[in-house]
Amino acid sequence: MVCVLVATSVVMTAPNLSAQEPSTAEQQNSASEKSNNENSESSQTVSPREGKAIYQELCASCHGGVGEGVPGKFAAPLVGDRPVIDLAKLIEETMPEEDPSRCVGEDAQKVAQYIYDEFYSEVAQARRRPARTELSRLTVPQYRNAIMDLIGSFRYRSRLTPDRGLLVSYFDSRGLNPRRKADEGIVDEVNFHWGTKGPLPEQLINPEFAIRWDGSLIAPETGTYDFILRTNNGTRLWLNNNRVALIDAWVRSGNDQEYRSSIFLVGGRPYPLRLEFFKAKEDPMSSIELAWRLPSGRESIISSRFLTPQRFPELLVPSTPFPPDDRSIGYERGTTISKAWEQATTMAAIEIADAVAQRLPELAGFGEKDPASDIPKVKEFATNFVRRAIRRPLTPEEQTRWVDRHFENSPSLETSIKRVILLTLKSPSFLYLDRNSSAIDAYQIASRLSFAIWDSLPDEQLLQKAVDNELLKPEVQREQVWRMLRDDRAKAKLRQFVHHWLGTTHAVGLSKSKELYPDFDEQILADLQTSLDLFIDDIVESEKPDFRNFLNADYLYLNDRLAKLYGYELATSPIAGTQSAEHAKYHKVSIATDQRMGVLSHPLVLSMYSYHNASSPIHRGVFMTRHILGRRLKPPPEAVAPFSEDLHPGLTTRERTILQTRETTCQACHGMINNLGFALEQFDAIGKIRNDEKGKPIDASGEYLQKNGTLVKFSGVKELSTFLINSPEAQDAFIEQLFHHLVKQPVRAYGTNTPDQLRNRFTDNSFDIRKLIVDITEIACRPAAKPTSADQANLPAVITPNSTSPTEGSSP
Amino acid sequence: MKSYISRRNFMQSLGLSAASIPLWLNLQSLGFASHANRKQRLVIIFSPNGVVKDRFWPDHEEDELSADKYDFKPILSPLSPYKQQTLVLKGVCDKIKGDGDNHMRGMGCLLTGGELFPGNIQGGSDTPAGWATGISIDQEIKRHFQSRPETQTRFGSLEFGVVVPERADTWTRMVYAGGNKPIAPISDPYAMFNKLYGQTKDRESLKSVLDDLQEDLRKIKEVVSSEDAKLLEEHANLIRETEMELQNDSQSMLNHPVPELESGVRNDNENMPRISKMQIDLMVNSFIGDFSRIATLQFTNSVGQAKMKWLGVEEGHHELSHEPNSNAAAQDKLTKINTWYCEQIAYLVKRLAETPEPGGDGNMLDNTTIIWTNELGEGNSHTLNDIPFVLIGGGLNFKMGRSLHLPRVAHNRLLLSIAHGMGHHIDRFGNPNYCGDGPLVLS
Repeated sequence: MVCVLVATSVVMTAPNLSAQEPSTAEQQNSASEKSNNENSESSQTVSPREGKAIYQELCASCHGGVGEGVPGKFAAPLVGDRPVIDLAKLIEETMPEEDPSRCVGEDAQKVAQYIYDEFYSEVAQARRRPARTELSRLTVPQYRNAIMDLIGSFRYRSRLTPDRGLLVSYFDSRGLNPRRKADEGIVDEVNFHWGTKGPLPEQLINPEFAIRWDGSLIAPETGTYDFILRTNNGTRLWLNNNRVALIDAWVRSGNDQEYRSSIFLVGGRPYPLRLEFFKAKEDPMSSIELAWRLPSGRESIISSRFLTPQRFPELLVPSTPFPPDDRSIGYERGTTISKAWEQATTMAAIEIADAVAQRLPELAGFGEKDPASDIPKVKEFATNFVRRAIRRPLTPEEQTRWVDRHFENSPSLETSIKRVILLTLKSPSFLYLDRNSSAIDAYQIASRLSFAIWDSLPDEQLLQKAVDNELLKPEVQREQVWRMLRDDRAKAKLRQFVHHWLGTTHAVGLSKSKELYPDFDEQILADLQTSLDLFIDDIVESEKPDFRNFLNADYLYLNDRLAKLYGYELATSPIAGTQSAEHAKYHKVSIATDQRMGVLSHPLVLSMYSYHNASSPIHRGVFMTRHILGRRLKPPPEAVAPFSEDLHPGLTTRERTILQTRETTCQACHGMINNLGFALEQFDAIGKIRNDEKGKPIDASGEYLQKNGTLVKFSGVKELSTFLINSPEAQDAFIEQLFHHLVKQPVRAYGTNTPDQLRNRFTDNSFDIRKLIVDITEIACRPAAKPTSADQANLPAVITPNSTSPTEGSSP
Repeated sequence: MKSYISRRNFMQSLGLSAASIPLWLNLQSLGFASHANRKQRLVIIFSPNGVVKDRFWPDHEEDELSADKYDFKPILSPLSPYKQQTLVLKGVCDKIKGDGDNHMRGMGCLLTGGELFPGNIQGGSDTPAGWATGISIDQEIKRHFQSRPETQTRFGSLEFGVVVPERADTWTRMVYAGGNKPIAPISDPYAMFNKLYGQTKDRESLKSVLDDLQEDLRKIKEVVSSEDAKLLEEHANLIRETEMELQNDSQSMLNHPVPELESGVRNDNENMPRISKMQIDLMVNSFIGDFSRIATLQFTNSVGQAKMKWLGVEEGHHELSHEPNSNAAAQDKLTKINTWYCEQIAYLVKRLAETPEPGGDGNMLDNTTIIWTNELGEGNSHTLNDIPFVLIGGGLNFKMGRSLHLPRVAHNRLLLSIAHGMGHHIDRFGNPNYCGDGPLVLS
């Protein structure tokens, strides 16, 4: 429903636009358009053109080409806050000065609209301002990561191994008595129905026995999870808290067999998990299931993909809710603050101060025996806490103000530490990045690197490199970046980016017509998500993650259900080298690329960009236009509901789409959108291959007019993807989105030719995504380019009034 | 130990947001507005393993307690100064049958008056059982109190514990929010302190750091561009607003100073006397602040194994309670243990009697009834007959200064009397079969 959604929120008149679009949202687009060939975009925007012609003819000689003024004639720039109607009246009556009658009526209207949209209005001014890096607070995910890693830095840290599943120990007693341990091993998931026999009939001969599962849980997404235990017996679950059970159902009572509890977790991180179970003498049967409901809504047994036998330390997850970050320009960034945010930072600071105070002996490493001798240890902890939080050493004055002072005349150690933490976590030194715009030192580089790659604080090694000033050396920087890229957090951030690029972050609640696609149920949707995740992991985890592989991969991950539904034969051998049952259930299936190739033809992607009962060339086209090619689209001139199939029962989807968008006003954008989407017409609403529709053979031919003016034609996904792989536009789009995902500042703020430099490097490096990240971080560590007057003058004269980002409004 | 997640929820409900301040003020002002109405309070205190009958029960019945010639037996002697405010009820029986051994039923049915669910917890005898099937009387009254503005308080009820083991089972829980919904008592006085005063302390700490924040903002503002300085300006204003809000509501927060707790007391058996005192002091403070009008205090647990070394008793309480009555040494030790428990009750009684009723007449004991009870009548016989019920104070409007010997009445009827005494006129509670003749008439 692209048209309808966008059209209802943004109406095509400038004053309304200014009311609804924050001015900051415009800046990025203005900058992005810069490298575009002006003609190709503007040739499609029909309306302002005439106004522009009139302006150039009658006004520009005094007011300048873009209203900047002409010294000696009319020097003041044409900016202000009059509405269009006023401007038109003014022009009609007074302009041009030498002969106001030359611009009246419709012409005055048009030129007024043009002036307003292009440079007069506040929105237009904001749009024309050159991109610059802005002071930014931590985004909400950055805040959470920073807190978790700050507290975590006082605990041990280990890296995730590929082992999956949980460690299991069986006991021949109800009390988990270590001396009665009967056996141990690894299990994939906890989903057992042993009936009357029990798990190990030969070893567990008592009528009573107990089992413990140990390890960690890897949370795939951020949000509130429900954990669900189903059992006929007694059970207890600890998650990310080794002292207080999340679920305590040791006492079985009455008919209760299902126990639920909620917990907020941050995605991409492992949390310690322990599950205990016992069967009492009188319990006739034994069974246990460990399931969850993800924040995105799926409920299932927890698969081994998310379980590891490794034991990780607890993570202090701040659970205070924060207002969402500004995503108006396509990526989350922290350039605005609000009352709600200020309150959230206060509540979170109190929450964390409290949690740290409770765990002080553990974190600061002292016993509770002799509080007097603990003071130096707590002070040392406090100093390290502040230093890591503000990401640089403290000056002596700061040492007094931030730390020492709070230990004088304080009623207790607890109060002292709480004050230090409150001050630190409320301080702009913690909350803001890049706090000094005039100079970049080694500490700022450390922060820029760690936030770009991890969305979190620098670790000790990085800070140490900054102390030594080593980090100012490019080779040391690179070395650190390579080191950081091996960290799980870097992988999580890259994985997240790919979903962002594909628009698959929220594949929730996708449902299809039960009549047409009876097999497409929740389970299939979950399978498809796993299939796509495995595919993305494949590339992200590989030695040289190659951008092109996303588009030209000749394989799919399929399990039995998916293979059956999509008509593939499963290979006999499961994925090698993994221990996971779920992995084993999925097979890497080779596919014929003339039919299906790369991620554009992944069934989940195709299903997402479809209606519930039909494919949608428009959704698919908009997705490719925005996400893959990085083009901006205007909102449609009017809200249009898609034609119902019933009205034109004989037409194919392609024919119906053409019929609906045949008006000239539609064709400005749909000429591009539809012809990209048509190339995927060989896939139906669930991404299944089809050869005909309504008795007519599928026509998957499409075309695309590139920014350089050349038209390319293609038919089917193979030709389309092959074109995209080699398209500088698609490469630029990928680079730019990745840059913004990592750095959260506009790429052009680092120099107008930065995108070109990055693309050249990317090409030279065989499209290695990890090398691209290294290049991006190197640029991000440069001082931001100072906008020159030349930059100003070079601004494009025509900017489409739509600022809709590549990530918004394009999902069905 | 409380998890910080629940702490957060607590903060949200009474948090720093401007929106919550009226609620806070409202509750406070309601407290003051209800001066005219008496603040009735109920405290239920549990100690385990039955009593030494002939050193506990008064020999005489009816109104004779008040006569000076009859002294309390040794175990109740710490309450002697409050004899006229005391009502000893003998003959109240826990008649609930069903699954679970007597320790389990004694505990789980004590305040709920209903059977236990069948389950997987096997006691020393009988069939295994699970949790209680219904709500406990304190929570029932809390529900009633919280539903009416004039009796509503910040917490509604507070559940204190002293050395309650860190495990949840039928023996460690007597308070239930409903069937299968046991409520854990808070045994750590520091955790209880945080629940009661954490927010106040945090606000004080917050206030103390705000000036430093402004300083920090000012310094950073000097080195950023003028566009970026606007953001910091905005931030500084928001912090000023927070400061104002803190200023405003700290003026209306408390009618008593935040108590100082002895620091570093570890939560273990050895520290039981100190923890007991800390918890009782916190309870009295919570009443002064009108945080709650209902409290329970659970010493250890059913089958509790307190080792009262400070009394010269090395054995665990439960172990001793199994000794036959003929074992004089054991009887002496059990008497010491029970007397110690009674001393704790007496300390609470004394604190309440010495504290004037805030904004009201008389002292707090006049408006509070403390009920001391037990899961068993006697440890070695495991009887559920003659469950000890000793009531002190004027909260329920009962006629005090008496020792009554009742004819084996079901304890459900006493639970009903308690509800009625607190102004909650229900006609059945727990298993209705044992509510036959309605509440015991005790006023």
